[in-house]
Amino acid sequence: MKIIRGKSKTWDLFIKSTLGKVGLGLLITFAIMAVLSPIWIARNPQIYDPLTGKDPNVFGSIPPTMAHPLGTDQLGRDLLSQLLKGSQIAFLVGISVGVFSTSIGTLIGLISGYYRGKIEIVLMRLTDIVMTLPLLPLLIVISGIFGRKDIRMIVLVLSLAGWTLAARVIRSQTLTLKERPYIESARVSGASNMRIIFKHIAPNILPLTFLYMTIGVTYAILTEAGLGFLGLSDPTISSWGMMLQWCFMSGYTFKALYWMIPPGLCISALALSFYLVGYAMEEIVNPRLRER
Amino acid sequence: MSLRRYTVMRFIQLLVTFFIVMTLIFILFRLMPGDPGVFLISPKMSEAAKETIREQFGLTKSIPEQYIFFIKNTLKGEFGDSFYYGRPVKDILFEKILNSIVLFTFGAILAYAIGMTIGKIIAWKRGSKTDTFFTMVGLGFWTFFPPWLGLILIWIFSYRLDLFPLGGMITPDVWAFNPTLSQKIIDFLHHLALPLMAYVLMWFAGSMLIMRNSMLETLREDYILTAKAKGLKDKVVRDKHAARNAMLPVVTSFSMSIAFSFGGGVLIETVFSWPGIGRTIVDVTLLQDYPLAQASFMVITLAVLIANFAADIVYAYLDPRVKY
Amino acid sequence: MKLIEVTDLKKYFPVRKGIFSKSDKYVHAVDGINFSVEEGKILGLAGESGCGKTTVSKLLVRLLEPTNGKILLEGEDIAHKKGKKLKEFRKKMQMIFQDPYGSLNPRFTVMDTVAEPLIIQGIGTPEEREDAVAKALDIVGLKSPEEFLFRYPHELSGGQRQRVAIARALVIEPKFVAADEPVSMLDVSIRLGVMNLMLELRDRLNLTIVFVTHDLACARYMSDEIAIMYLGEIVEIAPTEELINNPKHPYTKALLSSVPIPDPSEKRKRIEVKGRVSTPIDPPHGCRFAPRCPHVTAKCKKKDPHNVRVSDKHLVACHSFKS
Repeated sequence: MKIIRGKSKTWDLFIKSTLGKVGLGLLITFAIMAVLSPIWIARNPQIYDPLTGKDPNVFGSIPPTMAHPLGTDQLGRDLLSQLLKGSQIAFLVGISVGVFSTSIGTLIGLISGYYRGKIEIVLMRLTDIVMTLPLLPLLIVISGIFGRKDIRMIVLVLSLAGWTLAARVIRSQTLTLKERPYIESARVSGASNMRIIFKHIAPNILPLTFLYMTIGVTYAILTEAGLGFLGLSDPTISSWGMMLQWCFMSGYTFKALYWMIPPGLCISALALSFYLVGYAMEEIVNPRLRER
Repeated sequence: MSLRRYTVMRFIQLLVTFFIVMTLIFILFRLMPGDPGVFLISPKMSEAAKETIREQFGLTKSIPEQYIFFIKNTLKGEFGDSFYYGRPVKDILFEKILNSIVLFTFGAILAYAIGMTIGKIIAWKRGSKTDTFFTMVGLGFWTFFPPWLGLILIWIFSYRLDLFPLGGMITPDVWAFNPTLSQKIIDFLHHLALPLMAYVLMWFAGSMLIMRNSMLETLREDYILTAKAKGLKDKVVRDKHAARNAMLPVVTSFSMSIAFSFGGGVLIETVFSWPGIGRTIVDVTLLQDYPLAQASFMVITLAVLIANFAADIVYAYLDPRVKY
Repeated sequence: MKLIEVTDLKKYFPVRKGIFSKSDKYVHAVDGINFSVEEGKILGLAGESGCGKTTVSKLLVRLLEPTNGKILLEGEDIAHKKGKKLKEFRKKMQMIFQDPYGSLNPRFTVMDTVAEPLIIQGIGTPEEREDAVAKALDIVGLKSPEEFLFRYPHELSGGQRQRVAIARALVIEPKFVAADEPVSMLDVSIRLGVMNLMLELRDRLNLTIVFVTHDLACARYMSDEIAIMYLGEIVEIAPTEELINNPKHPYTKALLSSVPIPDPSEKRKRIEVKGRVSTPIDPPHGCRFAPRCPHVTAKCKKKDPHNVRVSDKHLVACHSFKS
């Protein structure tokens, strides 16, 4: 009840924001695509499976037809199937990385902001170091070393590297929150550090955590798609980045716009929708941005 | 703490970070499946060549000793020979990193100059149609998938309009027949135009949006009201009083986004076949040319660290209030 | 019986210079103070802002650990207690804060806030706690508690919030309460109500209170005894009426002369104090008030003044006063 009440005010402001509405609308569209994916494929998996399906009547890549509303790739696989499946993958990667990395960032931000001293110095140096790691090249090298490309490993590396921004911001917010009198009041009553961190401070940084989660999702979607485009993502799944790579590598880039346009558009639009939701949130949670 | 002392501290931090990255790379490559040393010894090498490599990198010794060999060799710039090119890695890398630096530097300067200028103007006109338009466009470009942006630019400007080459950095035919310097420069710029445009479009939005937000915060300060009350012209208040102070977060964001931008650089170099370090790391990874992949990654990291260091020092220099 | 007794209490804060350099300078926020409070009595601690009175209140409830000195609560020294032992003592002491807007967590209901000390100390079952909360709210004058239990701080007025804060402080039935300017941020119209409430609670629950304030009128209204602080030291301490009518320290006199009197016909001389409060960072020897004192002598700048007994309960730290 606490949280619903706290949120509802934010929610009212959010729904008034045009950008927020656009972002949310796009998100819902992609969610519907993800949900439709199994239904579309189930009609005839032999033809419509995004990876192993093949239409026996199709040779090479063909433009949109009744049977293939977006056309097919050079192997005769249905592009709409791939696109719908790609939505699922993007949500899966984006949201898992968003949740994992933001949880790590929130925890590190809370601890370093609350305890200060040596812990803070160590954690913030760690943050600086991780922040300067060029992530995409690192992922490229890792995929080269291990040969086998696994989406779970990509999610893991993205999560372990993507928490730094959230950690920095949440640390500075914790620094101001811990000086509030209600924290002292809890301490006078004998509250433990854990209680103060998780009962008093954490709920108050929830909106910020949410904001950085949307940024984390955006960055995960774009990075995974980048890996896919370079041919270094998991080959057992069909993601939007892979679609674009197949198009690029098979030499159809400029001959088949029906193939080149949809995956790139989807990657950009889904990344945008999460970013818009975050952007609209920031205008609300950051009072310094409000109009005077 | 003085600026000088800060610079020294920050430099030490750079070295420590690089050391940690080296260690990370050392560990990762030793986790590689297969024979020990597969990452340095190509199956195509002669027995004698293999022996030389084992000797040079201490591959027959214990892991801690190998680590010391590795650090020494890295600091000397010895990464072994490229499997693919068969030449020492350091020679290949030097030319690749230069190509990348040219693209990156031009791109960064243009993108930040454009982004900050638009950012300060739209913040001043908050809520106007111009503001809405640029904010929307900026948000759109900010999340644009970089290789797709590249492909669209190539499709429009090279494929349809035939204004620019499809990719690469130079036209070999032009360079083969003793061209004049101006011919060389024109050919180079002709190739540079599209990847540069992609870089700028990919980047200006970030600096623009941050500049806008930072300006909005600055404009709430009392000294802006004072400046207006003094009867200063709007343009003076905007450029001299507000923008100068609002610039600082943009510099910070630049420093923080360098690592991320290098990722975008890899993709753009690949799409435009730009012979830079980013494209190299992709190619050699696919070719399983491990010595070159390892060295490319370390060079990229070092470049990020140096760029980061420079941005932080500039920031400390610009902002007298900075707390070290 | 003395419920709380403080001897030679000191709190020095290091002056932070940077992350890497250790500081060798200290702010002498509280610099060797002594006092005691009898059970069921109220001590007013008065002084200008920056004199260290808030630090004293935080030391008393051990929000801060003193640099030196003893704090005896019912005869046991709590100055350096930690962990479980300290938590045990926290049942006996509570604090009321200055800012009723900041001292309540905006995401806690009144019920959550008031019940928290009980939860932390593991007292009672949920039902018993709810009864205790309802009772505490009733005591502080929030009649029909069920109306308030599930409200959030932003739905309450300033006076109601401070009453909730008081209810929270009292719910575990402490012996001792440090009140740090509890009425200074309230509208003048409701101050009296809150002060009367505290006096009434003192009588009903036999509470011992240290009441920190910068307002001598409030101190006089509330306290049995008043201590005047200046730059980390107590310069004068006496029973309330004695201190008001027979002040000995030049600073006390100056403070008293600045309090407006409701009778316009009464004429009195206002004592002007020159200069500003000097810095508490590593202060020099001698009387802290010397640079501003109208009666300053050469001795004042060299030697720290010791407490001089004016009468049984009246102490003053000034060289110019001889007993």
